[in-house]
Amino acid sequence: MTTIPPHPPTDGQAPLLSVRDLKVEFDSPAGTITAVDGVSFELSAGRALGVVGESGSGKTVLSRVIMNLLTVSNKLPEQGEVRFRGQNLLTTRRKQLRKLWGDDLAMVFQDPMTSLNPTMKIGPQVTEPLLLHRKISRKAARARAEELLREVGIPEPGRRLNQYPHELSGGMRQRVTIAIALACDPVLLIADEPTTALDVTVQAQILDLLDRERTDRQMGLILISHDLGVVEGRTDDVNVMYAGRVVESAPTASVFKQPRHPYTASLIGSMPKIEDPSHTRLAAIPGHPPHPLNRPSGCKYAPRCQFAQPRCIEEDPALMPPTDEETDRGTACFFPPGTDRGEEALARNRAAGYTATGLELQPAEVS
Amino acid sequence: MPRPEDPQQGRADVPGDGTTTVEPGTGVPATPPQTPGEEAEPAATRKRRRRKRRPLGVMTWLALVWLVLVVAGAVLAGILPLHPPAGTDVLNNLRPPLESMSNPLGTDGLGRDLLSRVVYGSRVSLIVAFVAVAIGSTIGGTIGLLVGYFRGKADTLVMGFVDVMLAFPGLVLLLTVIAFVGRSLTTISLTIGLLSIPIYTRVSRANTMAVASREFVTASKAMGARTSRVLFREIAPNVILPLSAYALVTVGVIIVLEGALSFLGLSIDQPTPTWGGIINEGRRHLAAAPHVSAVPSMVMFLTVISLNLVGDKLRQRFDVKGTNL
Repeated sequence: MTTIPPHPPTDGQAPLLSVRDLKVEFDSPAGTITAVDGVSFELSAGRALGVVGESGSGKTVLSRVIMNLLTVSNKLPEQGEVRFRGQNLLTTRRKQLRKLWGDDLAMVFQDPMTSLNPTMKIGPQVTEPLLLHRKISRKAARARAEELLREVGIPEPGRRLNQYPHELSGGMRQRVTIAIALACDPVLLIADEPTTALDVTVQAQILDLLDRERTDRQMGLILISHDLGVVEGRTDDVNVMYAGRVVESAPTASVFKQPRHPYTASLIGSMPKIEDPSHTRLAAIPGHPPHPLNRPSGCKYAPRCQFAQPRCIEEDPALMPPTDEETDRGTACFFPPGTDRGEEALARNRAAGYTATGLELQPAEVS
Repeated sequence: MPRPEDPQQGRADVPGDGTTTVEPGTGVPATPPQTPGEEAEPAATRKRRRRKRRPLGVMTWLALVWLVLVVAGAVLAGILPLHPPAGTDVLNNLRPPLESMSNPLGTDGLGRDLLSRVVYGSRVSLIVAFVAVAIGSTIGGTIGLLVGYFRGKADTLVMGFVDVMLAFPGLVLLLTVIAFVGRSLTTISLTIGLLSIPIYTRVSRANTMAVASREFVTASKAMGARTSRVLFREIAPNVILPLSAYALVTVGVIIVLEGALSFLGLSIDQPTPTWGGIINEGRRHLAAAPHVSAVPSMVMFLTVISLNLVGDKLRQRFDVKGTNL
């Protein structure tokens, strides 16, 4: 990775958010756990970045560290930097952070059932950020709250302000949390699995809502999900995470057209397709993600990878362009799928019947 | 959670309501339309009605009535048409209950009216119990809230101290302290209150830790809220509910404790009547007139069991709130 000079905040071209070599570790009785391992990316205003990965891949920790919200006692000091409009959030003092939180930087949480306070009516919860960050009267805040609720598609917003969270359904509650997040017109919104706890029809509505707000407000959006389908079509770029690392980083459209990392390829391959006949078996990825205390030394995905070669066990690939032409994307793979190197490696493994890590391949299996 | 109290389920399960139930959220399109308001409306009113419909149960009602009677008696003892509690009438002693309208609960060994003594005695029990619980739950609750939220060294230290206090035999500790500070209403209430701090600290800390890990607390922090705001507006209201239900149950425990103290003659001095004191006096007449001990015992028993019933009911309600939201 090339080092990139720090961006002056006045520079119009400066990205809204830039994360450099971020590493987050936790101290545990059994050893040091690396939750996020050298992650770098940039996000400009008005763009949406998807972060995809399975449970335990470090997505949520990443989202909390970007906000610098992680206050677990066993966390070791982070390495790397998170620059928000040029300001390194990891070294910013708490008092200043508190001014950014909820104002310029906002977050939508996974479970709307638990992210609203059950003992407080909706009204005070929506006006809270306004009263904290804007010098407005209670009455004006309430009027604004009603406006916000209407904007996120809540019918009868005036009446909702006097209701408790348990009187609303899950989808409605998530709309409320989005309204809270949008209250102070943030420039960056982090949505941590905003639709995971909702059922599918509501999911689409919430994602559309987030999409619309992002375009209208020209804010940056980080959409975290374990579901590739959520990210597809709603983000400009995608970071695929595996075992605390970004293994593929590319424009969303090109990832779905031609994934350049075997893990991404398998994830896309395991998505159920509408054109498949019913009762088609879902393609699953064999094995489990490595335990954070016991990650392999080479490529972390090698034990589950159909492309694995001896080199994958010895060396840990860094994020690099998959081919000489594709400079707008990166993959952490020596043998990217769809390239000559990759196809050759796969053919070799197929012929042998197993990969360099000993994973057996069915001759008919297609990635 | 397949609990019957689950509001989501309750809403969907209520049969024969006329309206087709549509989960409000699912039916709402992304843009504010005209219809979903009406569709959310019956769900809300239905819920309100449903809450009213859930009855308290005969036992809880009886318990509540009894508690109201006891508290009203204690408060209004001075203006009720009662005999003076210390007014002796030796010729009229050891009358059984229900014999004369003048002494409906009978008289004790000195001919004092038992009804009057029990009513006046309730003052001591109630004052000691409520003052002690108020002190214990306020101080203990606050300490528990703070250490449960901040954790760290202070938590280790405080909880170590709490464990030591709880390992001590409570009554022995209480007797020792009372032997030093004396036996007035104030000292006894204060001592019991202070000695019960550790138990509330424990309850409050456990609840705080459970609440603090919920997402709305993180959400509030992510909104830029100050720590004090997070503690007192977000967490405290969620801790106070279970803590006060617990406190109500401990009122009963303390009434028994005070009874034990006065039975041993270590509570408020004579001639102030206390429930434990009356039971103790009745000991001498157990063979001839068991009612002297039985009446205050019965009153104490009913009061404590009523407190437990009501406390349990409250706890159930708050539990439902806690798990479903």
